[in-house]
Order: sequence, then structure tokens, then C-alpha cells
Amino acid sequence: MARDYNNYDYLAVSVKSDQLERILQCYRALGWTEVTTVDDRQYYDMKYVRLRRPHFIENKDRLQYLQVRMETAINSLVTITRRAHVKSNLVLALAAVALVCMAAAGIWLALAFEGPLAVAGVIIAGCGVLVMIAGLIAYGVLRRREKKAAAARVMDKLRLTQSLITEAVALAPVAADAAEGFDDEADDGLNASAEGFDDGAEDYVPSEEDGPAADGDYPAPSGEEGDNG
Amino acid sequence: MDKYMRPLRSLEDRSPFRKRFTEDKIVKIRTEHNNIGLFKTCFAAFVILAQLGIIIGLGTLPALALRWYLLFLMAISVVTALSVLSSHRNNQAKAVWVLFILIFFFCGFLIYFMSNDKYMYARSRRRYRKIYQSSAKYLPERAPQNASAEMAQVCSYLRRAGGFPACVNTRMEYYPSGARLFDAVLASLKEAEDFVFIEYYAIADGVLLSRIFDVLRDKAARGVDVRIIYDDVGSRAFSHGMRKKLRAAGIKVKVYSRLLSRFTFAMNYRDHRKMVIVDGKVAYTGGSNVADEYINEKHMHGYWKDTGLRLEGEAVDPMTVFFLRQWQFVTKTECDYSPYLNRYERIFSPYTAVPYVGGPEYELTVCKSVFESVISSARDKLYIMTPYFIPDDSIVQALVNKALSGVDVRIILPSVPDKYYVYLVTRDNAEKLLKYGVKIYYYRDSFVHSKLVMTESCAVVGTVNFDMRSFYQQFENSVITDDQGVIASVAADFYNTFPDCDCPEKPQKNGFFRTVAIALLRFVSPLM
Repeated sequence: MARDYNNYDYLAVSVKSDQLERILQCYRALGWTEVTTVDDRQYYDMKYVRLRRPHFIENKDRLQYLQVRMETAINSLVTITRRAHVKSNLVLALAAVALVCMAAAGIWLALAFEGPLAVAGVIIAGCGVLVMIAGLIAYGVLRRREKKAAAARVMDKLRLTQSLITEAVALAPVAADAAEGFDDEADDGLNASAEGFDDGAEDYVPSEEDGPAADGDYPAPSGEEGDNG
Repeated sequence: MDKYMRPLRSLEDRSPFRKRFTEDKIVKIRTEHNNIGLFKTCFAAFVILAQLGIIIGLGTLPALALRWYLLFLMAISVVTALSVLSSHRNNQAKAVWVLFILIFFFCGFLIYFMSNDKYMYARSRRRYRKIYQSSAKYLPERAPQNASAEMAQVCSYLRRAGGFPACVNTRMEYYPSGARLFDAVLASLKEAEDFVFIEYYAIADGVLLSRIFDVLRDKAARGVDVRIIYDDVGSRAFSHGMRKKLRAAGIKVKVYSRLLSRFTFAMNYRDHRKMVIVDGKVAYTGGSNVADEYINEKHMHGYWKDTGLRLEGEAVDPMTVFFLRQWQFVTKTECDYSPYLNRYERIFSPYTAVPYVGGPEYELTVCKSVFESVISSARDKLYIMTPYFIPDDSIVQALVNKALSGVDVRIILPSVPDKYYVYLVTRDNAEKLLKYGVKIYYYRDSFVHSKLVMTESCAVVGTVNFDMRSFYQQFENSVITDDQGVIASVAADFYNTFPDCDCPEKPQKNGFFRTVAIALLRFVSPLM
């Protein structure tokens, strides 16, 4: 397989299989054309995609910048959803630890001693249960808030991605050589879709589906404008 | 393309029988890591630490047996501390050294003397002095013409400090990215007829080097004199195989200060210069090195923001002299400079350009002084772009004074660090200036590697960071100019970058651990 490094730039990315078409639309908007798409040999849930773009493409600096921002924004969706419930989970864990410690101490006092110490043991065990109940309530409240905040951040990132792609579509010239003259031919379906990438990129509108794609339970909030870069 | 030319990491050759994992990222860039040289770096670090350990061990072992030796060590430490205080180092570095010597009195003075360039770098400095004296005639004394009073003052300083001539009749072009710089470099290399001189801190295997190699191989075959100097620490990813190929093609490749050697502080002096000279007609400089991340073919730390400058005309000659001096130093051979000089195209331009270099071979801190002069000359605006911001008190005070006197002072910094510990101090230093009216900008999702300073009347483009290493320990090169075209291009680059930056109004709140880390790092930052 010969690569023409003097006239083309090459990029190799691994993309989540279920997000492949959507991500490729983004790359097409940035002037890239896919060369090959195969199963990733390192990650079972990813596709390994090789792309290329003319080296002397117009607005290359800006396109490179938009690409990095797009990749960062897309990957941050996973980080946001994964870290969404850190605080609430911590509160629950602390409450559970407190319950176990206080219950153990209370039961030991109640069984080992008599009189005021035994009463104190019962009170401590009761307090442990109360702490757990308070923890559960705090967990519920925090979780709802975190869910809302995470959903808002996810939507911000999706809006940012959308604005980056819109800017890229305006900057990048249409790839005239899509799927033509490659030494190593891309999957027919993918290259066929490359022909109309311009429309495809504009079709990429963040939807309710985008948030759940990463986690599955964030509704799309309405309202504020996100960071548009 | 052979194996040295390809992007380094390819999964296509990976065995299908190897275990496959899952990945958290939705998109994973598969050309981002480059581990060539990691083993070499680790091995060098191990060898140096072992040498240091042996020296410290041998120095302190007698103390276990002889009590008076301990007193002797203490006395030596006090004397050493006094000698540090009376030395010409900057005050912050003095304070750190004195504390270090007195706390670690059993070995601190040994490390200090081994780290003292006055003793450990004396021979190299003598050689440099000899080379400079013999080549001074190639840098003609030129005073600036039509320059503003501030520019004339800087030119005068540079002429007296290092013999750097103020050049006119120079055409310059500014590049706001490494990709555009190297496209221009490649176009110039293709037109080379007589010689190509290349000096870079970092050269790494990859696509960019392969593009350059394709051209240089062809040129060397046609008899063009191609010489490359690279720094051994910066060029960790410049493989032995690739160097062999370059030499086999007839290209002269020389290393500056090999990494695997005995422990001396001179190994801390790195050649951070970046320049390409083609036929004595065109020269390039700027922040970019010869590696794929500088042209964003690889993404190491987000988007890589870099810059470059092309020079044609009178200012090419000093750059040629700077290269030949370094070549003479690394090859230890005599060299006649005259065949490589006065070959530039005669151009008319009224603007002044002064290429200059700085480094441990000069007694004066040329690069720092130029920055100080430029900062003090700002009347209306002062824009800075730098990857690291660890200046000493004098520069900080100058920036504060300018901001308080109404000058629009703005500093663009990366938002993605390349070295986290340096970034912590950089951010802390920069945000301390917010309350004085200095505006700090963090370029989103990017690593800013550009080294730019501009005012309304001049611009500095080169390799000098705002940190102690660049000011005191590294070989650097830059160009200061009052060319209105360059100033306009640099200003346009700043104005195009500002909208993509976050501009905090208040310093970021640091947690307990970060505060402690910053305090510790701040303590050693004068030595960074």
C-alpha cells in the first residue's frame, strides 16, 4: 500500500462502532475522506478508520483546530456521563459506612453492657439508621441535580460540536476525490456516503438520542445557549 | 516509504490473536503516541542518578567513621553558601541554592560545584569564545537606520552585547502555524542549489521528517552541502536508523551535547535553537521543531499552536554565522565562513531586523534583556504568547508596571499542558497578574508553543520562552523587527486567537494539595 505523503495528510482513528457513521460525517465536514474501515484489532467495540485529506487544503490551520476541539468535545461526553454521579455516590457510600460503624458499635454496646451504656448503644444504632435515611434522601436529591447538570453539560458539548462542524462545512472544500484512485479501497458503503458529505454534516443535529448514546438516561434540556467556541 | 517514514503506530500489523479490550473514548486518535527514545531517556536518567548516588555516597561515607569530617562538611557548606551569595546568579536561584546547600550539608556543596558552569562549563566556554573571536569579522557593525528611538536602543544593546548587526533590506513573512511554516521550508529546500543548514532542538521520525528527507536526499545527491545539528535531549524520537539513512544519503548530521555521558550540569544546557538556512538567501526560524505534532499531524496535547518567520535579504547572513559557529563547536573543526555569506538577494526595505542568539556562551542574558527592553518600550499594547510563564521578579514587575500605567497587556497561554508541573506554576504566576490588569488568555483545547512578544512598534519571533531555562540555560535564537508587515501579521494572529481563548477574571481556586504542590514547585522554579 503506497501512501502519498507529499500531497495528502493521513489520519488513523478508532471510533465506537455504534457512533461510526455520525463521527465520519464530522470528519467529512473537516475535509477528510475515509480510505479504509476495518474492525479494530485492539478494541472489540471500535472500528479502525484510516482517512486522508489533501495536504494543501484551504483553511487548514482552522480545520485542524476545529478537528481537535470536535474530538475533545465528543470524548468529553463520556467523561461527563461517567463522572456525573461521583458526589451522590460518595454521599451514599459514606452514609453506608456510617450506618455499618454506628450499628456495629451500637449493637456491641447494647449486648456487652447493661444500663446507660446499653441504652446509648441502642441510641447509636438508631442514629446510624437515621444517618442512612438522611444519606438516602441526600443521595436522591443530589442525583437528580447531578443528572440535570450533566444533561446540560452534554447538551452544551453537543451544541459546541454542532457549531464546530457548521464552521468546518463553511471552510472545507468538497472532497472531489472521495473514493477515487485509492490504493486501498474503502468500504463501498462508506465511500458512497462520502459523496454527499456536505449535506450529511449539516444533517448532524444534536438530538435527544445523542446524550443517551453515551449513558442512556439524560433528557435534552431546553433553554440556554451553549459554548459555541 | 520504509518503516522510518511511516507514522509510528499502526494497528494494521497487530496480530489478530492478541487480546482485545474496550475503550472509554468515542474517538481515539491512533497516531498520537511516540515512545521512541523512552528507553534511552530512562536509561540516561538511571545512569545519571547512579553517578550522582556514587558521588554523594563517596562524599558522605567518611562522615560515618570520622566525626571531625562532619564538622569539615558543615564548614565547607557554609563557605559554599557564602560564595553562592556573592555570585552573579539571580537572587531567587541564590536563595534556593543556599537553602539546599545548608539543609543537605553532607552533599549539597558537591552538587553545587558540579552544577556550577563556572567550573564545569569553562572549557566549552573558552572554545566558544575562541570561535566567536575568529568569526566576529563576519558580523559587520551596522547601526539601525530609520528605526524608532526604542528600537534603536535595543539594536544598540544587541550590537554591544553580542555583536549582532541591525539589518535593513530584509523581506520577512510571518507564519501563524507550524504547518504553514514547514510548507514554506519545503518549498525553499526544493530550490536549494548550494547548501542547506538545519539546526533544531527536536527532530523526530515521522511524516514531516520523511517529507524533508525526500527533498534533502535528492539535493545531497546533486551535490548540495546539507548539514543538520540536533539536540540529543529534544530529539529523543530521532531514531538511530533514520540518522543512518540521512548520513548514507550524504547529509552531515551532528548531535549537540550527547545525552548519555558523565553527570555534569552542562548537560542541562540544551540547544533550543530552530533555524533553516537555504543557500544564504532564505532563513527560517520560529517555535516549530521538526516533528509531526508541530504541524498537527499528530495530536499530543490538543491543537498545537506554533509560529514561524521567513527572512530574505541582509538578515540571512547573521543566521548563517550563528549556524556555522555552532557547527564549528560540535565538529571541532576550523571553518571558513566567507563562501556561505553575502549570497542574499538585494532587496530594499526600510525596516530593521536583528537576528540574535543567547545562551550560556554569553555572560549576559541577551534574550531576557531584549524581552525587558521590549516590555519597557510598550506604550499602547503588549501582547505575549508563550508556552511557559516562569519569569523572574524583574520581568514580572515590568509587566505589572506596564499594566498599571494603562498599557494593554495580554498573555496567551496553553489550556492543555505538556508538562503538568510546569503548567501549575505557569498558571499560578500568570493569574497573580490578573489583579494588576494583565489579561490572561488560555487557548481552548490547545497547547501554545509560540514564542511571541509584540508591541505597537516591534515584534519578537523566535525560540525564547518566558522561563529561566530560556533566559539562562539554553541556546536560543530570535529575531526582533519593526517591520510593519510582520507586526500587522503577528497582531492579526493574536486577534484571531483571542476569540478562541478563555479569559478568566479571577485566579482559579486551588485545592489544598495543589496549593502545596505549587508552593514546592515555586520554590524550585528559579532552577527550572
